[in-house]
Amino acid sequence: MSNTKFSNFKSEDGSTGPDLVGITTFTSPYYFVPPSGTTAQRPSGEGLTPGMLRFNTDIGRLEVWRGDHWATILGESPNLDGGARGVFGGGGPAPSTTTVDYITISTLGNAVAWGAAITQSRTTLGGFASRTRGCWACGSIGVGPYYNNTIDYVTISSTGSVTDFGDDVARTLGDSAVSTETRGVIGGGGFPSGKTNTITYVTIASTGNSVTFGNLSEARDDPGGAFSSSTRGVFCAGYASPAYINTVDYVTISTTGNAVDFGDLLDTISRSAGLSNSTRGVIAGGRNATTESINTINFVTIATTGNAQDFGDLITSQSFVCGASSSTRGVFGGGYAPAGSNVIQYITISTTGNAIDFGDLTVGRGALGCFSNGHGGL
Amino acid sequence: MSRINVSKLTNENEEGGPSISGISTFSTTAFLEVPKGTTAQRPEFVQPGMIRFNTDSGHLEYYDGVEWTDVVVTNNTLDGGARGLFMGGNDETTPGAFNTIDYITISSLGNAINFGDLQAGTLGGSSCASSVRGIFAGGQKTPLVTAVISFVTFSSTGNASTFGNLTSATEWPSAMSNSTRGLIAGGRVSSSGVNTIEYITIASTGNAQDFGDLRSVRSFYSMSFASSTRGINGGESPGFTNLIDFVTISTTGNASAFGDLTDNKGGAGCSNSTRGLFGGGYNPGLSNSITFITIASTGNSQDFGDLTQARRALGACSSSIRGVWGGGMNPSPAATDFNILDYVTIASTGNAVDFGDLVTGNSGRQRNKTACSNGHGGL
Repeated sequence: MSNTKFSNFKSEDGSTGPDLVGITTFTSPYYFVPPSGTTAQRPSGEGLTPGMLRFNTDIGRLEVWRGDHWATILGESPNLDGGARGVFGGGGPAPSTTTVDYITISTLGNAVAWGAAITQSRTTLGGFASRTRGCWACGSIGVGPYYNNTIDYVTISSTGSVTDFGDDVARTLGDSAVSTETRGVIGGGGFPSGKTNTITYVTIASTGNSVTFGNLSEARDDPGGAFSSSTRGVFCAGYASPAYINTVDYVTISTTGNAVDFGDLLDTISRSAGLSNSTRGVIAGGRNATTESINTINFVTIATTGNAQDFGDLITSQSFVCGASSSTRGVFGGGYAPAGSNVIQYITISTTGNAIDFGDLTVGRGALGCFSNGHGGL
Repeated sequence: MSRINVSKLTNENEEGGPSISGISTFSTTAFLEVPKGTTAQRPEFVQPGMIRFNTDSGHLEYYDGVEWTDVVVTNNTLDGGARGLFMGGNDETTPGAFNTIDYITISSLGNAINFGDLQAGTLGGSSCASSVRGIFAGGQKTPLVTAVISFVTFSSTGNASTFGNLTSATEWPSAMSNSTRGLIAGGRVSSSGVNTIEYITIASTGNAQDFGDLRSVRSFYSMSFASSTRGINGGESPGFTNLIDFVTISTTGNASAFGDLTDNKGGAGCSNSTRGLFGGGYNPGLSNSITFITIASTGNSQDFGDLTQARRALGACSSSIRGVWGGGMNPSPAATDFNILDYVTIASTGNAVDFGDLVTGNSGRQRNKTACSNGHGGL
């Protein structure tokens, strides 16, 4: 009996449902509805078994019996104003700006001004975020002493004040960053005196200075994009003076240690944007050894290793563009084309194809730092 | 028809699965695979309680009546497993107390690694933890007893920061926690044993507040652990009480009777969410015994096995799988301090096995260390 059709299943006496024995699979892209009822309708007595699952209609939450109590399964949504929020901060060209603006990634339209400015105007700053807190790390001030190792943070739902988080201990500008819900990891970048391969990290929910994590395979700045799943952080390409590189490195974010080879991008580039959902990382724009700004988009599958593949093209060629994402959509904001651009464009991460116009930043700029509360590392 | 064998079920129209009415059970130790698809494939018509796995976000999600929300998961994996901390302590020969913190990855084996420092050298403190923070409270900053509570962040390494104060300077208290609240129980205040229980909210900072009382005074080395709902405290020296008490962590109030210790008293305790272990201490001579209880029930402890070395003044921490004891001492005939780490598999019974060594301060050979982890039974 390999294919049986039923509209309703019950036990022999109709008093309960059946016992489904063995590994059970629901083959559907849609949903599974567990038992639901009020708190008063919870089962009780000797029949309680750890792992029992039900939806409690009184509290609007799934709950599971843990052996001694019903534990509420918390749900979390990145949605603010109907979708995940992308936040763009700082940027240039000189004089650099403290501007912060934001978008709702699931919609289309122009960015809205944030209610506060970053603590120091600067360019080439790295952005990373948990679901609740977004951070910008380091950057070039544009005037003496030129460099800044400050890490700023905001509460993403607030559109309010930007606060000092601490200092990065390994670099002052030109970094890229990845994160999970717990940890922000910053890689590459440089000092006035040179480039670094150092990786550092912070615990996003706390504040304080960064701590050493390990090393990238090569020192580089003007990174070629970085992104993460909930397990891996991936750092792509960059300028490893005197050469542009196409190296893709990855780290396991929950550990510390040196980066491991992932594969190669299709071109040797820097100044690109990186973003991801939980499975696919996308790298867009930037420059290579011969062209000041390019429009190519590459992608990789984060859980595997291997070389990047062609995804499509940006609307225009832009370097120092910045990427933020939800689980479905990747958004690229600003960039130098060659003047500071206000263009926001988007892709659907799970497909391939060219970017489409999304709207405009409040201020045209490049070399900005951005993050979202719905990216692939969360 | 009491049993049918089917490999695939659809409804009559082959347009969906069947409705399964009544209480339903999935009898397997393996898994249940729920429907999965992209965000775009979410159903158009929704009802509260629908569950699916979103392949774009990588999260299990359910419709809560308003929107699709991601199921929040706790990930206490650092370096591949839960992280255990062993804090403070002293030894036979070094004046004062150590401020060192060692850490281990409980799922692996091997020697501990230096994590950072407490704010001051302290022995005989207590520790508890959420999945984010490790708490160290009280103890003896020889010769002074301290009320200071400090904390570290598990995911980083580094030195402890100020959290607040206990209501009194307390040495040799014992601590337990769930993910929200830490309880510090017993110990000695002004050289006299106390039965007080205080609590803190781990995610914040601030001073401890009164929770209630244990059923009896617990001066030294009482043993504590917790599930997410219950805090357990049992035994002590020098009175060698065999009382096991429990409290409901989310409330306040006095402890109730759980049962009796059947063997060792005054060692160190650890647990997963269902089973708690009492290891080492006295009976009344120095003991290597491990006994266990089922936290959700009440009753006397039962034999589990033996530590690799009889010792007292040791620390213990745990993941959901393993319990680990570290350090300790044998007072006679000549006082000997141990850097031993040994472990058991909590779900089974049996003797402890060598894990590795503590490393900081006299090569890890210390007594009066206290331990916590980001993967214990209260989380």
